[in-house]
Amino acid sequence: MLEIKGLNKSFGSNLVLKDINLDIEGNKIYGLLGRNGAGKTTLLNLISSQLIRNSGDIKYQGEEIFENSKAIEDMCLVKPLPESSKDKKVRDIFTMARLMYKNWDESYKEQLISEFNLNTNKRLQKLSAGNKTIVGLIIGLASRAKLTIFDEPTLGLDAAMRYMFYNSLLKDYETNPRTVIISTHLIDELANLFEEVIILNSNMITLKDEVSNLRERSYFLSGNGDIVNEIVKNRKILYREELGSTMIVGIYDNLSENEKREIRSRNIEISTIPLQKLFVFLTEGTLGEVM
Amino acid sequence: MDATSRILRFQLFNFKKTASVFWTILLILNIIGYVITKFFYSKIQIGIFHNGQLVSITGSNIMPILIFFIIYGIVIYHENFRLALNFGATRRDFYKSVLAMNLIASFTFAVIQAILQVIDKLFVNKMVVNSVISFQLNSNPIVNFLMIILVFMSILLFTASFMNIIGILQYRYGYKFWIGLGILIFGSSIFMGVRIVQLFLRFTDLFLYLLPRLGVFTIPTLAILASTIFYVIGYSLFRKVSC
Repeated sequence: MLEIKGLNKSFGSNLVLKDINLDIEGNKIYGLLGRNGAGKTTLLNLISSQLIRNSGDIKYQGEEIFENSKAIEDMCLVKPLPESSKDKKVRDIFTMARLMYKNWDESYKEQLISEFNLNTNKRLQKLSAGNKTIVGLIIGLASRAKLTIFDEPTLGLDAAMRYMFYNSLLKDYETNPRTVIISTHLIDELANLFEEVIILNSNMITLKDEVSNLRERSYFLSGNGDIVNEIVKNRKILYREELGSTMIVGIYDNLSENEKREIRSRNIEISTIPLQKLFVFLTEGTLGEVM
Repeated sequence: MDATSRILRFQLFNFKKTASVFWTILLILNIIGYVITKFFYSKIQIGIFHNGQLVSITGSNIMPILIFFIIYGIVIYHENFRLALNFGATRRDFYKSVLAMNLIASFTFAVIQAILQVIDKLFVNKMVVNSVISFQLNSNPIVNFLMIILVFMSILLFTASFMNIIGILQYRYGYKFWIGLGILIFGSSIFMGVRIVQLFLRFTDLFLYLLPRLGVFTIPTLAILASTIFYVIGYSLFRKVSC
């Protein structure tokens, strides 16, 4: 659906994205993860043509996206609304969004407004930070854009609102499949939503894999230090911690059922590394070894 | 509906509100002007005067209209462009919609103002004895009315096209643009003052050269020509602008 090749972007002398190559398939939910300043927002802005790239190709269904109305009209990037629209009433902002998105679903928008209990007669600047975020989320969901991108969609939202958004997204995704890219720091909360994860680290895509694969490949092994050391020899180690004679090691490798049985028979505990922790390990500099 | 039509409707949505508020205020001021002229003409005089004689009340709308176009040229980029790009517009489609909007705005404002001028003539003639109304471009009243619209429209389009460039530069460079413009005006008036006057005189010469040949079409021709050049320059500045 979306193909990115050799994408580079810098702001002055500051290189933000270096040789990005990425394939986004249709009707999947992607999680775009990266530490602060990794270039997530820049990448999303480039995908939606809001920024001008230095070099590289971004193609949507085989066609270059830059200044391509057909490609751009299928996309919706949800990010904080510009400061210049703060004086506008929320209902006017929705009207403008309705005029712009060709697949806009007005009844779904009304449903979301009532679910999120949003006052649309207020001006944007009078809304709380969370409600401002909700305006963007409603636009993203009601746009029914084939490629919907949420950049930090949960900023300022309380837990109840966050889960309401996750549920709305999933419910709508079931009946109206589309491609969704979500950039976030709340990885564990969203882990069950993601089908694939893309990790951006040190200006590059360092990992792109299905969440199920990641879970099958990342394990904590804990037990006697000598035995653990022996097991993890020649495996890709993400994390190591020693507590007396006990050792906890995080590995990123395939373990067959036989291997797992054998490890357990030696009194070594095996547990899956939570996605959030895996992300921290993968972006702490050991990733070069992993990849 | 294609992308350009959608974005034009988006622009119209914003424009309709702004323009309605603007004209409501202006019409109220015009009515106040007529009331004051009717009852207090000897004490308070409002409108455009020629040789001490009131010639038009709504004629004084021209300046607020020009100010509207000056501000609108900046707002269209500062407010609408960011939002439109956020909502999936391309720069090219947005620029096309700006062009269309400028034409629509120039035309509607010119028509409203031309109608007001006609009404104004009746009112002012009734209220002030022996008043003289200018804008007599043709002896046929309908042709004259259409000519007033054409002249107004071309002047407004010229203003819009010039402000289009200012709007783009202000969007691209923010406050730096205004500092740069200040330095440019200050520097050029010091170092190139005479040349600027000479350049201006050349334009005057061109106008005087064309006037006997094109007659009442001189202003529209020059304005449309200059607008075209400004819009081409504008697009070259705009096409690679980031959000």
